[in-house]
Amino acid sequence: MGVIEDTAMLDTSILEGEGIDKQFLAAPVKSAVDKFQLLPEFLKVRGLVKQHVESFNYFVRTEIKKIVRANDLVTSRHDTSVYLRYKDVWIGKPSVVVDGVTDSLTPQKCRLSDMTYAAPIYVNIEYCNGSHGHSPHPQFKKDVIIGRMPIMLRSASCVLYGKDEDELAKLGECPLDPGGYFVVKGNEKVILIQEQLSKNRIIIDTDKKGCIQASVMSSTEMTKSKTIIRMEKEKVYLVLNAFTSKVPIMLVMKAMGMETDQEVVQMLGRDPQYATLLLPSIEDCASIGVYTQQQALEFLEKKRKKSMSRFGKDEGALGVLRDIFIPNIRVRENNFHLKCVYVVVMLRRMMDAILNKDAMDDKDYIGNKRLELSGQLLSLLFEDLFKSMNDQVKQNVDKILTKPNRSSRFDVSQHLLKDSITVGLERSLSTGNWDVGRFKMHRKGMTQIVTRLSFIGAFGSMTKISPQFEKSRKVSGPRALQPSQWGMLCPCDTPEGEACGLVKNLALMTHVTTDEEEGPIISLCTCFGVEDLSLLSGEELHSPGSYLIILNGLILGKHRRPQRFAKVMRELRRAGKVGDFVSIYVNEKQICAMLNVSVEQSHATLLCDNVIHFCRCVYIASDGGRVCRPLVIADNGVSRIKEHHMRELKDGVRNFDSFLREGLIEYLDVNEENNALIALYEGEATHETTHIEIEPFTILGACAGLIPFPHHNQSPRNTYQCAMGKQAMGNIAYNQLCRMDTLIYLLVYPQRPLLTTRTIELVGYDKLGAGQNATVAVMSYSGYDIEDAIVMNKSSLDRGFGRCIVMKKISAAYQKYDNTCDQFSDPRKSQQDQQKGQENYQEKIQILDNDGLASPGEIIRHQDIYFQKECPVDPKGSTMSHPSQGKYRTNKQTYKGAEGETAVVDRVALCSDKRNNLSVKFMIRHTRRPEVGDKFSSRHGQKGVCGTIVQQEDFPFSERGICPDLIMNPHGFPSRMTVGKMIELLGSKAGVSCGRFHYGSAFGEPSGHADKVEDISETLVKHGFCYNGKDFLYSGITGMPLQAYIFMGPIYYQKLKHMVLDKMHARGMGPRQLITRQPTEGRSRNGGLRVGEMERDCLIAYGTSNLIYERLMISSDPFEVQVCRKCGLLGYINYKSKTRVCSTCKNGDNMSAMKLPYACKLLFQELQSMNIVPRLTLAD
Amino acid sequence: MKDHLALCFLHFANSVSLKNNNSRVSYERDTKIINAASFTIEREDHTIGNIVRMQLHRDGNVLFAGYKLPHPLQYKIIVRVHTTSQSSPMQAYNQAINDLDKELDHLKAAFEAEVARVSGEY
Amino acid sequence: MEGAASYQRFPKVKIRELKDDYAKFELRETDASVANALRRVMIAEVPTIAIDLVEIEVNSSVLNDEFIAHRLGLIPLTSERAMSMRFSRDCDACDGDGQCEFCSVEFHLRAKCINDQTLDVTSKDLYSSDHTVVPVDFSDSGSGFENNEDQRGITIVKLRKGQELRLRAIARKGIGKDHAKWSPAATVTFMYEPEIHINEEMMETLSLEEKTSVVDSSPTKVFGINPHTQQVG
Repeated sequence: MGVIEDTAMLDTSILEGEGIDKQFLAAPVKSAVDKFQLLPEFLKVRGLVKQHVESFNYFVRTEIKKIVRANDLVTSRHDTSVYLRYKDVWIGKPSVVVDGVTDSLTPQKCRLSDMTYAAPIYVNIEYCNGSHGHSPHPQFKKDVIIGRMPIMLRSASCVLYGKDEDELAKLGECPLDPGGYFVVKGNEKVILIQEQLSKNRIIIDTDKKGCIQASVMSSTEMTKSKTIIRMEKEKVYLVLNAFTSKVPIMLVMKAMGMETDQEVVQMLGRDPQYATLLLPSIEDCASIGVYTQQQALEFLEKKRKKSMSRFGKDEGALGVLRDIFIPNIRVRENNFHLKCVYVVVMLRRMMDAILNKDAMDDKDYIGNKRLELSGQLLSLLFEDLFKSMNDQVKQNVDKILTKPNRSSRFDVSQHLLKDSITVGLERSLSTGNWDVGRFKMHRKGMTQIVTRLSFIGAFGSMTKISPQFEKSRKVSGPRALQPSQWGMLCPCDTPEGEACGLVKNLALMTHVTTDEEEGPIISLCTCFGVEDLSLLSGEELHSPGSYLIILNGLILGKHRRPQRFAKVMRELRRAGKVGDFVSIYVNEKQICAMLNVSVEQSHATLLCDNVIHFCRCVYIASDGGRVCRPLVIADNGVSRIKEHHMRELKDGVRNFDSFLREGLIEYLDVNEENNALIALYEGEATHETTHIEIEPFTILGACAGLIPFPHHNQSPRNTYQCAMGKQAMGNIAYNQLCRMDTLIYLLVYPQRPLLTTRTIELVGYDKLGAGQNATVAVMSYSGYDIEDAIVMNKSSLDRGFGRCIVMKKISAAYQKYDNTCDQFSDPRKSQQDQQKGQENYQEKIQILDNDGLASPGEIIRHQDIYFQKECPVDPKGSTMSHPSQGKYRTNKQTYKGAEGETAVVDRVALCSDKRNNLSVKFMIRHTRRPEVGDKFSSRHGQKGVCGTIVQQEDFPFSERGICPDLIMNPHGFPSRMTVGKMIELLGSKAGVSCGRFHYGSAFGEPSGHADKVEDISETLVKHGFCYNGKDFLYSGITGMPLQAYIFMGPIYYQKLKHMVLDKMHARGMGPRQLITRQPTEGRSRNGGLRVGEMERDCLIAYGTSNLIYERLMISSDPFEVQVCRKCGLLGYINYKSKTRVCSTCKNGDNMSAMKLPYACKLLFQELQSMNIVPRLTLAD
Repeated sequence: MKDHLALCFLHFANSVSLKNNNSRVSYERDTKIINAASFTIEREDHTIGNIVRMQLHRDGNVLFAGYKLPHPLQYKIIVRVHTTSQSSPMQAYNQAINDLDKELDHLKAAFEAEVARVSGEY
Repeated sequence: MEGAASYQRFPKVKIRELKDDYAKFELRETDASVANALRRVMIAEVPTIAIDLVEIEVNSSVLNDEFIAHRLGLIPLTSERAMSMRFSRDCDACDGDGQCEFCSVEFHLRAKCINDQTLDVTSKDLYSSDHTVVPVDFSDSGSGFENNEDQRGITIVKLRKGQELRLRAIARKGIGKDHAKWSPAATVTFMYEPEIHINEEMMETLSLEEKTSVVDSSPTKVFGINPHTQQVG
């Protein structure tokens, strides 16, 4: 052994010697600082769903004011002196108006009484009711409500904001609940994060035919458009929606005032390669005969779609070029120079891509993507609704003003509508349909109900990113794991099936940026030596050694010393002078590509400069929707965070923000990460290292963070667990027993996992666990454990293992009619004759109280009546009679549960619903113990059903008297390769024996966040177990020792929501469908089990004709028909005269009876109704 | 606790002696092999099955003795015995039961004596 | 054929340890099947008494009725009376409804929290109609929980101010096979006693250090070292 080690060391030393890494050797020995403590601090500041909250706050604080300011004036078209101007807008505290009284709202109140958690939108207005001869004097009104905005929980406008645990508990709220969702009509709705290609950026890619194109999705406050410049058959064209067909690009240049071809070529660069590529386009333009701006504009005018004049004013082709063609480049005073430069840059990038395929953009690259969050989406919606409201106000005012004589005094401020915004926002949030015509946006499924199956499921819906593509596309690119996802999006958490890889989830430390002001950054840039674009000639644009400075897709100018510039900007950011989330990215990638070329043909490089000059740029981004994450800054590979910083953090002198302020930590987005060299651990940092990761396990999200030792598992297993963790039963929230959800699954004795991870502690899974630590023996037992089935110990189940509570909500309502309404009824007094006759009626109503409602705590069985009321027989009429005089009939609702099972009425709540009816909600609770067929899973994607339940005495036992809770078949391991599960077993076993929770964070072994197997084994041996976790077991049946040592120890098991009781179904006779008379379909309708086509084929092949006949006819829909032998059509029996008649032949001479499926008879009749005659030819 | 353990023995002894006295045991001869038969014992499981089997194995005349639990949902066991011509399944079975009965009686007595001794010591 | 050889054995029993809640004994001259049968009977077939039916009058605690009923069921009761009691299914006196004195014991529990401090409702709060059948008292068992003065039995539920629990429970005789609550033993196990032979000759050749390392290698400390003779045994 020693020998081997020696040689190994020799090898490495030789290698190092060869590498001549003297700097590395000379570097001082770095002691790794435990930076883990930063993570909880980060989460304290940012929270796990902070991106939603932050985005919503930004909307409420800034965006909404911008929108209102941009559309602040409503003027009557009829009388221009009548106007209304919005002075200020803000959002108040959540409240509701009930009968004219304003009542403050809490989220829990809204959940329970099906209300919307919304706050009033206040505006201050200045308005004028018109000049009545004298000069108009404006009037002012303050605190005018224009609508109600649904409020995101835990945002700055929420009542929960900044509350501590006690205060939250008083409000009925769970302190561990992350917030970030809305309560709309009692439902918790979350706006899914939308993934999109970034706006206002040049993207080089290929179209369907393989043509290279440069496209820009422009998006400004005014317009949204897509501009494509495409190389087709060596010629370059512009494709724009406003033009009927593609337009030669040179023609567009000319139309924008660049009449000389030389100017374009010069701007493109002196390199002849570019000129060569552009030549066909120049010739093309010349062949059309367009030489001047005037000619070009005339040409374009012909191509223009005439219907595009939506804004009323029509400014011809020039207007299109100004407003629709790359509108993100503003044109001032008809100076198209900037736009020309932008087009040329697009052209150049395109040509780079033609010359060198590396210059193509990757659409799947996260840096080219933006995430749209609730705030942005709501602001779109609000803007649309706000404008619509203003239009409506204008229309109403005009209508009144045009009236010749107005009866009452006119007041503009009275015409502000409250409902349109409130209703519009509410509708979009509850349906998830974003139909914003103004922005050509028609998207569905934008919101989702927060999954409250388990605590972690709620997190899952909050971090979910829904894709831009439709799911049916069969390309693998967008589904593949992108290297740039590192640390930003969880590599494990994605669904299986059609949305695989498209739906993603955020990682633990990800932050999504919000918009930031561009103005200060632009002026800063000019201060630091950016040469303004408008002052540059075409030639200078691409002079070697200078870099274009691009801010949010806008070319600012160029800089000669990009690295220095970038450094200064970054220093400013670290000093807090520029926003924390501004990213500065120097694009050198393309230079590297050139260097490769130059190595190959170094002669050519040195001699002339006809080598490709790539477009070298410094990208500055301050737009919203970029994903970024915090990293520790390192100088020459030495971390800026020192031991004393962490100590101060521990003492509470410091927090995460102060780390940020002092430039110890910074946020990097995906693009800037490309300029950084990030070391995973401090010890691995070299001289070039610029940043150090805070903790490696933060690349996983909240769901994947529950898995212990995920880095030892086969990767799909972790993905499966991410999906299953959301179905696990456990605790939902601290207020779980006060909630009135339609369905709640709870575990009776949930536990925290013995083998935890840091993520578990951070998200609070240790407080709201969803599973139990079961002692598992990995062995074969009884044969009822094939196909991943598990064998369970009956005594464990008796003692409460896997016991769960299922609560279902049933609603009922007292309806109000015009003059009457439903009444309470005492079931024992107001029994009508018809009911008295019914058998066991007394038994069925015994759980009812005197008011006709089931009382809480009563045991309710299948078919029991839980709600009984008196309905007026005639709800419309009897206007004069007093409600008490009208006739009533009893209306009752019966409980449909599993037969033979007894449930309990948990709670009964009364509240008024939207239409002011009294509605009653019953929570029905059912406690279940596991049974054969219930689904269980460990945290490693290993699901299995309970195969059998065995008496404890039959279970194997160890010499210490340990008896497993469940037995798992070892065949589950080899093909799944879930080594993490084995380590979990070892770790938990060591944990129970030494009394310390063991850790299994991802990649945590080097940093001490995961226990090493060696240490675990040592602990095991210390406590008298074998180092490998195997135990000597005796058979419980014979008492003989088992032939093998059994791998046994505790594993955290989750009970999944799929239970046989909800699924098992069989029927003999039962209900039939009305029109076909065939058995109904589905368990809920007590339907039959279908013998389908394939089953039928089997029976045919097997030759069991009678069985087919029985299944398809006798047991389905047999029907006897009368057929006329002559005409072959169906007749009938006249029951009065007891004769058989053919209605076609008008006689009954040739009738015979036969059996048909009713559906067949139906088909014949339907065919006849469409003038097709199906005739039956009968034979003996 | 002491009483409890004694209780265990007592109950155990009782449960064994109960075995063959009523209709809980049914006897069925094998039609093909002579001196082979199966006993179906209702409402018993491995507890009885296994000791009876082991006791039968100690009988030199027993060529084969085994038991099975036909189905986990059926609360009965089937003991199958095959003996030489010197004996018969019924005889071997009765012998085994009697021996076990006596052994357990002895065990019970021995245990009670031991408990008395130990509790006297303390 | 009466004279057929008897295969009866005469097992020997030796009690090694006997405490209120723990016993350890040797069983010799028999085989594993007997020992195992004994173990199985102890777990599953010895009748005890446990709460089987709970009628809840008032429950305003945080735990629901079934939850509390389940917890009550698992409370161990002293079961000396079990042998003289009837199984309620075989009871003639009460037509099988299992509420007569021959087959059942009635318990009452009344607890209400009236002050700000959380009230622990424990097995001590259960009042039995029969003084021989009471919740097992663990406080003097010497099993590690001793000298803990406020050890008040098994917690059933915790009540907050204003919450109340009032119920009637009926305990019945049953066996562990039906439900683990009727199982009298926490765990029962047995093992073959290992016989360890030390190769004395080889052992003699070892130094003291090596001997100590041999002794220390055992996690359960089976061996000791004689300080005088330096012999391992």
